[in-house]
Amino acid sequence: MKKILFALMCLFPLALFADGVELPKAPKCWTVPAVFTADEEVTFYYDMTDVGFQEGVDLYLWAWQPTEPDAGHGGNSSDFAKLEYLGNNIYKKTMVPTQYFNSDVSKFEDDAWPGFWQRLKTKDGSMWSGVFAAPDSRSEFKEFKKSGDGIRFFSGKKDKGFTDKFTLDEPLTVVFNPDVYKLGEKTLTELAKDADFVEFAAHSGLNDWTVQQTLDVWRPAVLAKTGLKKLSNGLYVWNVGVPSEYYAYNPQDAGQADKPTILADPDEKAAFQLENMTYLIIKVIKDAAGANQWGVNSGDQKQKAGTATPYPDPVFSYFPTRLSSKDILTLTREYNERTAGDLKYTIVAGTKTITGTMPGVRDKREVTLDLNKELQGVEASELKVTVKDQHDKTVVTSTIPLVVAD
Amino acid sequence: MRTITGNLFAIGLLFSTAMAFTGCSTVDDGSYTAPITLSEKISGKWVVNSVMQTDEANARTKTLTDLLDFDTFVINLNQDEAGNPSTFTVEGSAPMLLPTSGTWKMDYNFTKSDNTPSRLLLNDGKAETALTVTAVPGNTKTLEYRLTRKTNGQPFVSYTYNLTQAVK
Repeated sequence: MKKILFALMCLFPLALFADGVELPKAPKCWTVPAVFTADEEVTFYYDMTDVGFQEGVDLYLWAWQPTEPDAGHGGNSSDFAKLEYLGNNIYKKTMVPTQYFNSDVSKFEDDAWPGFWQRLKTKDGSMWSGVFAAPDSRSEFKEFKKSGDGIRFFSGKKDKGFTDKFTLDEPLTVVFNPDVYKLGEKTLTELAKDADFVEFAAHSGLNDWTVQQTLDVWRPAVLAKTGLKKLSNGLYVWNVGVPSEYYAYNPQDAGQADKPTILADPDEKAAFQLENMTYLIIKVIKDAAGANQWGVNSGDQKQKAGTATPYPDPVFSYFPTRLSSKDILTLTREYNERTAGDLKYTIVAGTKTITGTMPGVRDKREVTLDLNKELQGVEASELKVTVKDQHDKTVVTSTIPLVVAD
Repeated sequence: MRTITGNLFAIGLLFSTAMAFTGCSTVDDGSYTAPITLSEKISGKWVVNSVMQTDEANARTKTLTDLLDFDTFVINLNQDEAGNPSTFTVEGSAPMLLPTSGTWKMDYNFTKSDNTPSRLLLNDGKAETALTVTAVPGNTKTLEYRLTRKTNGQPFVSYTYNLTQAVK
């Protein structure tokens, strides 16, 4: 039954863009925080690589669950639906879903809610992405509550599965069940009722305190950054965001610039081998004089990091390794740059020049050629191959020798 | 002991001699039929099932079937009235790795006793292209042959055509 509902939900907007082009592909979407409730601010990130829009073109959100905020404007999207382009084919949209969709948070927590179904589109509706559901965190919260665990690290992207093996550049949210997690003898729920309670906050560092975000209880900006937030579903979250950004700066007193750590330096960051996070969860209290102090805390804790798997460097290859001018040749370029787009090849063989595009997706672009046909009547002992990206930047130059068949 | 073995040997010899003679006698088993030749099995109209390119340097392969119209490849291996190989024609717009018309024959019309593969020879009047037959049609009507390109006698690339007999 649910599946039928989903299908209907997906079909409904089809009628709306009779005039536009519907691209078959949908973007990859993830969120920061990694897990969130709909009444908290969340940023949806969209990787448009391979979807088919022109690089960097203005894109707008078209969403219809639980309400359709931009209804009736398929041919002229409203400004509030506009995405921000971050470069590298990545867009983002920051919102508080309950406000954007003008709906109560309970709508987003209902099991019957189909999810954040949406498309991205150009303003005039001439081009639409495929339909997709942006992630929501109903299942994660539900499962966590049921598990009986007091704390869990949610690192990564929902479509690939969350892991507690966090990495520098993947979104990280640490979730606490206040009825289970204890500081000293008392649960967070109990401690939050104390008269001296200000907030729960994290004092933490990476690689055994090599890089730190200290809990400076006298600094409001630090309390805001490191504080645990109580969600409407009763759980607490420590929104680390992206660890490499969280640990790049420590907020200072009002009016003072943030203090950078080594991770603020791109070269240092690139060389940084993440191993672990050390942290304490602290009850921040107000003392008799009205000043913030560290109260009861978790003591030193350590979380092991995962291994980041970077996208591989581009690889150009041709098949077969030896060939004559009468053979079939395949040129392949794998793991292309995010914005390389369609690749254009030029092959010079003697007096003949062959040009064309290498179709495919970012992971693999490939073209197969019949040299027998292309090089008819041409004498050549080698092929000079040049491959350019969509910005006319040369990404490959290669020489393929030709053998003479017996 | 030795006598028993000797006797057994003598009896065996007698039997085999007797059988040899009976084998020569004419048994009425109908009129004489020549054995089926490879040419007969291989002649016909064949449509492509798959085309595979093999890098002979490292044995890596690439499927070409859905590329460059290879899937349109059809070869007609015709026979004359006497059932002997005659002309061949290639249809479709696949890359012309093979000659497109001429005459064909087998290098030997029966399975070779030394188990070396049979070769299908295509002659377009200018040159002879030898294809190694890697699957002979039998119960399954599949013909497979391989075109191997060599330089200085060393194979460097080959193309394997897997074909299915067209329903006439």
